[in-house]
Amino acid sequence: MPGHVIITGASVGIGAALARSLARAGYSVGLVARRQELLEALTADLTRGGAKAAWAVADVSDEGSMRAAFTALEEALGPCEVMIANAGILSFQRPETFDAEVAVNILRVNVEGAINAAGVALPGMVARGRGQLVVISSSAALRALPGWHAYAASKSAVSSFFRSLAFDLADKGVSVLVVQPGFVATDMTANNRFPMPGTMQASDLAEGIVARVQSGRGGVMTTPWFMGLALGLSRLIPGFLFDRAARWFLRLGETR
Amino acid sequence: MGQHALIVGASSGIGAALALELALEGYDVGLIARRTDRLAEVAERVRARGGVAAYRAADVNDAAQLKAAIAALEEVLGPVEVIIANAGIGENTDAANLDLAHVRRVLRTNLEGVVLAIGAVLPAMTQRGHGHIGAVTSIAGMRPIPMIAAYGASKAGASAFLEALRADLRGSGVTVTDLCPGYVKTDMLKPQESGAYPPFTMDAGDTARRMVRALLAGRDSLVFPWPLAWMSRFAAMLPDALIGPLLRRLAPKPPPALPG
Repeated sequence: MPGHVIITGASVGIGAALARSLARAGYSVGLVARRQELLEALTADLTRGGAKAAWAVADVSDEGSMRAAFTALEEALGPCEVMIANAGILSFQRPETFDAEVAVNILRVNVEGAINAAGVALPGMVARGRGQLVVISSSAALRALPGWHAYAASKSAVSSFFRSLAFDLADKGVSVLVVQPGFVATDMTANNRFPMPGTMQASDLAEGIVARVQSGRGGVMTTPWFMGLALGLSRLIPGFLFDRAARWFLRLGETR
Repeated sequence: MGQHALIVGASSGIGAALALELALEGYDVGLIARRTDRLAEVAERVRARGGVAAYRAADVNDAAQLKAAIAALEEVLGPVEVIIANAGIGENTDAANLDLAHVRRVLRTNLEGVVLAIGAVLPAMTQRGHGHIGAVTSIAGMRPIPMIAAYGASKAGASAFLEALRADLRGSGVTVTDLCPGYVKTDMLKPQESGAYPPFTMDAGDTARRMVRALLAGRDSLVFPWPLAWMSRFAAMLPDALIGPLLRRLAPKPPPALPG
């Protein structure tokens, strides 16, 4: 029987879509996010559909806050078998108006937040010799684009951290899945004015992730596949060409 | 009077060697690190060779402190023309007993430290339209490997940050160089039990010389020494499922030394 899954950043976007898919697949879902009213509404929705669900408010970038939420959810729904570190934020900056505080905040939420979620769940998983860590990184981990400084840094760091962890945890019975989606239609990308090739619906992405979680297999999941291929091959293009092309592409929307 | 070259993480190792090297190139060097006494020593060595040096103590984990130190040095030496974000710590990660405080320490020094240091001079440098930005990353950031999750992540993140910045600034007159070394003989690199250093270990002075040359030439990156660079590039293309068993067979016990 599917067990208890905790999802951070569960109130909107990919997180909420994951919660719905996992509930449909029979998992009990623990929801973590900052906004209580959104969590309450989603929990009520899932429970009405016959699923077991609970919520806890937390700021993932704060270890204590994340730990408290985790403890409360384990009390409500039992031992956490799958931790999905999904919470993430995005903003673009220009070098001439660069604000380090904004950049640091992105790193704290996207990197430390994901690692906090894994860190509070790991002791139990290691003790039981069983568990799954899932982190929602981004295709941006594969190639840093102009203006995406802190976001690209955060996703590169997160993919690197969890892929490294996967080696270390292989003999502990804990699998690690690193998801690197391309563009997904969510609130986070709603303000992007540049073209977003291959944009996925959050629900479709969630279905794909849940199928992978059910298989129990870890590894790296880059989707859509052509995004991974394109960004990987981009390294073969000389930097001065690629950077100018990327800048032109990302500014396409600004004249609209 | 020379132009201002700022080194963050300048009290020892690669940073101290970078200070001497940039002074030789005619720059007035601004030095930042936590330990005042060590900074004073480095400044003394620069002056003994006829260079100009000023220093301020600051912790790269503390945004306000770092900003104040940079502002103070700019008052003495003028606007920063060259910056190298070098401050870094090396710690191994024990994944099965993951210590979140350790992860924070490594990420905040090696990744946030780079963002804060460069961020403090970036807007003004961009508006002036000339300058050189560099950060010391590591070959360890090029492909995830066991036992150094936090260190590898911090360096991978720093390299990505530089890559995005370079994409923005290319053609603007401000250059961004990723200084990505393998093993360098510093306090951070402990010799193995036999007393031997890892393969291709470089001397800090040599390392600094090559870094400064690449930085001032405005190169995109300097990944060296070349045998490790190509090994890492090749390993980065192989899937984790293949690398895992391979590394387990090769991995030295106790935990590996940290490149960079």
